[in-house]
Amino acid sequence: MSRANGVTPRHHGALLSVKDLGVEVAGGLRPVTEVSLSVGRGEVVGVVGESGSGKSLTLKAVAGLLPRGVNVCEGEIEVDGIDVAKASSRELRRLRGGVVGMVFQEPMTALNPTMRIGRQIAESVSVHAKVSKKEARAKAIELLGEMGFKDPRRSANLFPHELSGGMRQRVVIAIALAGDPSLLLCDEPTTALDATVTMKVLDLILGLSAERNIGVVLVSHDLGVASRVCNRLVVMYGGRMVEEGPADEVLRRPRHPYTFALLHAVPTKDSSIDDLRSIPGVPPAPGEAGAGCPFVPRCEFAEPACTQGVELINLGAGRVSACRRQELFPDFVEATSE
Amino acid sequence: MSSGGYTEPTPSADVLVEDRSPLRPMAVGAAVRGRVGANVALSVGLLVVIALALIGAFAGLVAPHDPVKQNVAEALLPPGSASHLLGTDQLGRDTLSRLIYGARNDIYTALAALILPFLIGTAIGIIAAYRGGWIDTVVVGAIDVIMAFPVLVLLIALVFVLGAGVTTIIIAVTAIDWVVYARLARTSARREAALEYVMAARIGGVPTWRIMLRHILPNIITQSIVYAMSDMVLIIIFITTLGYLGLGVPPPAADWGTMISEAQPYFNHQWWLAVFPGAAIVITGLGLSLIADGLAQRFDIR
Amino acid sequence: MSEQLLEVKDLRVRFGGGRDIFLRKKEHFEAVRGVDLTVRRGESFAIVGESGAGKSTVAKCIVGLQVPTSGEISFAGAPLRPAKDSDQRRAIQMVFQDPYGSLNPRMTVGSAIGELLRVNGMVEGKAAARARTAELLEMVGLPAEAMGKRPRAFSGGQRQRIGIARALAINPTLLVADEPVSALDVSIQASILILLKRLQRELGLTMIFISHDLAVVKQLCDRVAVMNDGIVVESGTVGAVLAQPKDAYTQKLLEATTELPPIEISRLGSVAASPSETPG
Repeated sequence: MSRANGVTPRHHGALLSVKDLGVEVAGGLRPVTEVSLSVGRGEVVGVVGESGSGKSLTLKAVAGLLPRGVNVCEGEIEVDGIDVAKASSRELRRLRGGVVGMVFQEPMTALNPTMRIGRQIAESVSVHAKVSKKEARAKAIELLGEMGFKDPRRSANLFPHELSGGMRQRVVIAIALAGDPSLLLCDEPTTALDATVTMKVLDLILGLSAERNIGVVLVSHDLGVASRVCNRLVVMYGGRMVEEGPADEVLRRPRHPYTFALLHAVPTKDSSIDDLRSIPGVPPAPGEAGAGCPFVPRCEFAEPACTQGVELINLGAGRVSACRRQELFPDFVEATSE
Repeated sequence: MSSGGYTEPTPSADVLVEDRSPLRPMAVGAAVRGRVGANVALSVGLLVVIALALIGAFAGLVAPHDPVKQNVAEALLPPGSASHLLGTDQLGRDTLSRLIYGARNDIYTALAALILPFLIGTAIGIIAAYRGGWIDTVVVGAIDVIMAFPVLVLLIALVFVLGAGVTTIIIAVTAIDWVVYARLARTSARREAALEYVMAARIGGVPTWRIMLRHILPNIITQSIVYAMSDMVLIIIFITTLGYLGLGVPPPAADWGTMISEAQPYFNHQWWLAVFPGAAIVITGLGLSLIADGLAQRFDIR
Repeated sequence: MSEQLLEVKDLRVRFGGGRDIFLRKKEHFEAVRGVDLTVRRGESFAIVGESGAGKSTVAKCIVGLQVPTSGEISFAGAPLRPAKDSDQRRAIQMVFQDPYGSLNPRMTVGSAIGELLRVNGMVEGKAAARARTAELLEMVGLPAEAMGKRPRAFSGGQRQRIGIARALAINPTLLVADEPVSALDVSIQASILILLKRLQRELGLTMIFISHDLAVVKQLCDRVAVMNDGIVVESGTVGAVLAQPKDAYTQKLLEATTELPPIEISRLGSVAASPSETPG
């Protein structure tokens, strides 16, 4: 499965458009600051970061599922042209499931353990379309087939606990797709799954994105996962975006010291221990980072100016970096196709 | 704001403080201290219970009269009478003084009756959980059997058989109440014993008794303490019920339950004789419950 | 250096089973179904597999936390009986996966390590215990002041370091690390791996490294055994197994391993770069 290296022009009729999003916790802390991203149809955008980076909260803000006490304090979120912050609850309900489908990390808690999976999917279908029970059931079985279940009719009668983790996650994806959404939000969908199962689920998501022409936002801490399925990557650290661009570009030619350091710290199939370089220090706790660049305490290239403020620099061809010291990076000719 | 069909995932690392800079006092600690200060329940509860306990402890100094001294000439005086702030009962005994001595009897007896089941039950629970095997099976069986009986009935039956008195009360409560602490401790200990630090201690060669005492016990005790506060309410009610039934602290010693029972024939006109001891029981119970609530909230944060 | 330190023969572990009070057969689960391994002195040996493969159970048998249903384990030539032989038990120690469950939340770091030192007669007196604890902490890259703090003052990576210090406190010969970096942030994982490598070299430890991640194993280990469903499906040197996996399961596992496009920048900030750099 190959990834298209397409670049969607930002904020241009995009399916999802997030501009300068800021999220605030009671007490004034800001776990998410000035985050922007956009997703178009058929695109898979990865949001990668470690714990405390704010990636999960960003996704929850888009989904309208921020926990109590946590609020969007600035910026705009537009889904299919509708401003989520200003939408009425009826519009939001239509959006959720109908336009936006969500997949979370723990399939066991996302599914009702006492209801057969066929019925759970059918319920989701009925919520978003006026169809008869029979039609909903038929659609559910169709979805199960699409998800790779060998005998969808029989599988529909199973309970969640009778399925393996990977299969449960596929049911969750099926439920997310039941409303025929154009946007799929996934929060660490494969983290709780084994490596071999992860591959299958990722392939599934990639396939869906292409076949159904839906946009996917995939939040993950795993660079390997992101690298496998994403067209574009947004790297987050300490609540801010540090870098954005076509996935291949970001991974081969990072333009932020954090991305650079991270790539050298990840053990891969081909690296050896002598290549590994750890990053001294710890990621900041959510909301802990102040006004300047959150990576300053751990960055060997930090300057006094870095603590003053962060500016997103547009490097052209869809590349964005939050590092003001672009002179650190060897100047390559921007490649537009690989 | 729920999305039909999905369970909202609990706020996790993204919202709660997880990683901290090296050796810096954690922000959550300050939050906890803030909580206790704002923890009205705990403060009020402690205030009430400590006040009552002190009054009971220094009963001799605080009570205006001798609680057992009868003075038929001054019988059935209403509250507000000269030198009898809360009136007198049918034998001329000062209600206030009897309440105060009742506090001493009831609260301290309850405390005494609480301690043994707490210690014994917790110990048995931890041993059963950690050692497992037939010990565990026997203990669980015993717990189930005792819990199958209605507690109050069993207790009263025991007291009836063994004869009224403080010692009997303590024996009866200990014999029955230990099961609750045992069950609580067992559940917590089982969970704790599966944690890796216990495994590390085992591999490290720490002897079993020491693991149970210094590793498992301190990590499970808070739940038992919180429960003990609520349990004390139940024990006080039990003691006063016994008093009411005439099986409690032997007369003429003051006991809130006995006071209520003796006040029954006079309820229509001398309402204070029953109401004041009743109120005392309620206030004590509320105080203890508030402490339990406050502690539960506070201990929630590790 | 090729003396065999640990030998596992036909290890089997079954959970449940037997009969209940009514003599009906109870359900059982075979976690380990005949595993053979040999670990040489001084080497770093990995056991790799996904969840449910049985690798943690094998680790627990080696450390003495789990009694095998059948099979033999011998350590330095003698049968492994850690319950009875305390020298053996002391020689094999473990580092755990979960940094948040592996330390007693109510004990200071100093007390926890001190307890192990005392119980095993490693030191005499409080001063000696403190000195040795400070030494251990320094070995894992933590300051001596950490002794007086409770686990909640530390981050996940730091707790893992404390766990390693604790495991090394009684001078083991064999260290079993059960997924020691799986619960850590990516940027911290590398530092723990580097630490383990250094310690192994400096202390001459033999290490058994349990993981589900072949990429991590590649960094640290000489030989590897791949487990699936309770048995070893393939074993050999890390280089050979990764380059040419023979078993279908190993191949699947390898495919699923983290692979990133080669990063084209090796150093930041150096002026000398590619010829396309424009002057000034």
